[in-house]
Amino acid sequence: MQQLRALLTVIRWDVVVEIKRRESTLNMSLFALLVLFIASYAMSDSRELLQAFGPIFYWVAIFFAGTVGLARAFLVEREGGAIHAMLVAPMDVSLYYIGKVIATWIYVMIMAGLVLLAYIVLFDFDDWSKLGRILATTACFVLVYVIVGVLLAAMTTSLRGGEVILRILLFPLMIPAVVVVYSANDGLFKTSALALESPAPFKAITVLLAMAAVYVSVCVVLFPKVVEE
Amino acid sequence: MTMESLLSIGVSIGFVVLCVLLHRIALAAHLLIGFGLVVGTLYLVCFHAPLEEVTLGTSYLIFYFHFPSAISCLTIFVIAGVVSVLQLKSGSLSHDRRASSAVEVGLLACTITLGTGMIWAEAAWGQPWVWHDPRLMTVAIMWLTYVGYLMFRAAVDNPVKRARYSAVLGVMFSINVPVVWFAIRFFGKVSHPMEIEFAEDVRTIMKTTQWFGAAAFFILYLGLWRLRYRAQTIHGELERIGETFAARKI
Repeated sequence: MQQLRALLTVIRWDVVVEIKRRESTLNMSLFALLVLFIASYAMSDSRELLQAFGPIFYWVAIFFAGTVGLARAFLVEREGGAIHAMLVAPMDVSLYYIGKVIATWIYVMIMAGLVLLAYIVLFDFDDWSKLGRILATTACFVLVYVIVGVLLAAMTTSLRGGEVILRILLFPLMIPAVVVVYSANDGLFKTSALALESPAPFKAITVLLAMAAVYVSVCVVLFPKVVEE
Repeated sequence: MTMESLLSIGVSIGFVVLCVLLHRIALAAHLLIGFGLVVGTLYLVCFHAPLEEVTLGTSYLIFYFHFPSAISCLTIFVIAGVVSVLQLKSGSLSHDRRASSAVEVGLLACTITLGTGMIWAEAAWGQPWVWHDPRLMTVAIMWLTYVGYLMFRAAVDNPVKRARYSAVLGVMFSINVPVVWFAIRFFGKVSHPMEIEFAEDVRTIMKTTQWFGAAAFFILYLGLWRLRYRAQTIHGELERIGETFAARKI
């Protein structure tokens, strides 16, 4: 119970800091919206192009903009030295990681929600029955993304060129998740980005959840080693 | 259990013992043996193995270099993962040097695998790369992750921190190895063959050449791993001496 309270405190603290600073969510969202806006403008002459390539840009926008938020995930703690306080606090360090993952997932999902809204407007999306599926797939994709990203961000925040290194490490690890969501595009947006046999969206969700389970079990074990002084 | 599988287990155990024994001899001798065995593979390929395969023609010969590098790179990355776990447990800098030199050699093997694979694919499929093949994709991802690992190391100045973070990455990235190994079994055979189908009359000589080549390249890569480890140890010592001199203002 005490550990659960500690976990909720970490999440609340992170969310409060984000509400006050409004850096991560705002920067991520602006970046993602710009990507979608430019892509939609470039393909505005043809409705077929918009519907064929729109889903790709939807994922690309979330994928690239997400790193803006991840790079800042540990910035406040590192700058203010709060990370040392977290380490000596009477709580499991792994819980701190899980709290951080949940809080970051919330910001990235806010950004993804805005991206979806922009997608509906800019890319002529009108199949409302698929909205739930898209949101569920996005939520699972973002979960895998933040599980890996938060661990890598903890390592790269204090490095010179940390943001670039974070992307170099994160992107290859995320390619399998990207392939899974691209292959589910048929069921989500009626297009096929890759020639892979398209699984139904719920199959993509299952694969993403399995990936999340593997990564979270490894990252929970490794995180205490990353923040250890 | 059949006689053939018993023989395979016996040969595998013998090979592991040989690799352990090789680690005890001088590095130069190890490398010489490795090069000698690779030349031996070349001899087998040129003078014993059939020069043409039923469907792939002469282009199949590159398989005798592609397969050994592929199997070596996967094994070496697993070794890097195991050494990374040991580093996290002990905090030893020598384990860090072992893991990073294993990654460097594994990356070399992985690059050779991708290079020879692309040459072979050009001959067999008419194009060097296909995006929908799970084995190709997973190997390319593995190559990219380990390039990232080396770039990450270059960005961290503190050796203790570098060792710990690199070990974390080493463990994390080794998850890719079973994914690469089982890629075709998981996602189904798309383009990449699971194994070469040998004709009955030449089966023995082709299998022997294949596994002799795998053993030869692996021994050579182990030698290169030792060489890189030694180079990194000397580099670390020189850095330490330099820092001592700088601290004493000599």
